[in-house]
Amino acid sequence: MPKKADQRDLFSGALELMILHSLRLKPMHGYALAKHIKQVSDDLLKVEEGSLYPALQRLLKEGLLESEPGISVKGRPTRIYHLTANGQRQLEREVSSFDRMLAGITRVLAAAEA
Amino acid sequence: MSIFRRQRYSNIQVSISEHISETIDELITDGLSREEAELAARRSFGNRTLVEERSREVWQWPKLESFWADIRFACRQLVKTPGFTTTAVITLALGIAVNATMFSLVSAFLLPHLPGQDPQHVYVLSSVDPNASEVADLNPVSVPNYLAWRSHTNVFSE
Repeated sequence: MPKKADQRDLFSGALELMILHSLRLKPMHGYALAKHIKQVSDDLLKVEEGSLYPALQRLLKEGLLESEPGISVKGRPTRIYHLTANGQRQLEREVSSFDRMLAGITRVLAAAEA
Repeated sequence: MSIFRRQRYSNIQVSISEHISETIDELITDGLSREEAELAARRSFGNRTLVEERSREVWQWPKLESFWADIRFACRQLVKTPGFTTTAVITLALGIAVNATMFSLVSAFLLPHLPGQDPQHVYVLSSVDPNASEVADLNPVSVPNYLAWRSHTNVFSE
């Protein structure tokens, strides 16, 4: 997919943060997760669909997610991912640290304009 | 490969296959032909082989396993290109041989040597008093003593 000018790359950890947040609402399989992130972000973020999978494996390994076998809408076998209690806690930590980072950047940018 | 890891790897594949199939289905519903849909789905997914590899890597000991993979890859490459392998081996063999030869020549002819012909057979002589009461004493030997011993025995080779 050619990169459009109004899309931007993610900072590291952003994809994981969005995955955790999306799965907090309800367990999903990979395709649904990719679609959800795409729709909610209004296509502003450039998430290559494939990059979701290594990120999911990292989260599984850290015990923030778990997966179980499931069946997609069309009846194909797939894996359904859901948040663990650890994942829930991690999400809260990540969100607050993200908020602080964003506040910091906003302040610096505001100072530069003044 | 352990059974757990095999299971994990197959889970990754299942997940990714389903993702691509579902994308294709949706694009066909949107009115694309099957071929177009397959192409578009693959394009938007990215490099599938790479994605699967990156996903598996998460469960590996990356350093060690990629080290082994590198070694195996190097061996395969060597077997595949016998010409290059032969050249490399001959170059190394000649290089090492010439180096070793040069070193022996330089060591034999140019480097200074210890006086005496046979350094392994140089000894220090001491005399020991067997009746020493407290500590066994070890005394240096005088030249006249040495000369006397030498003339009465044949243990010294000069």
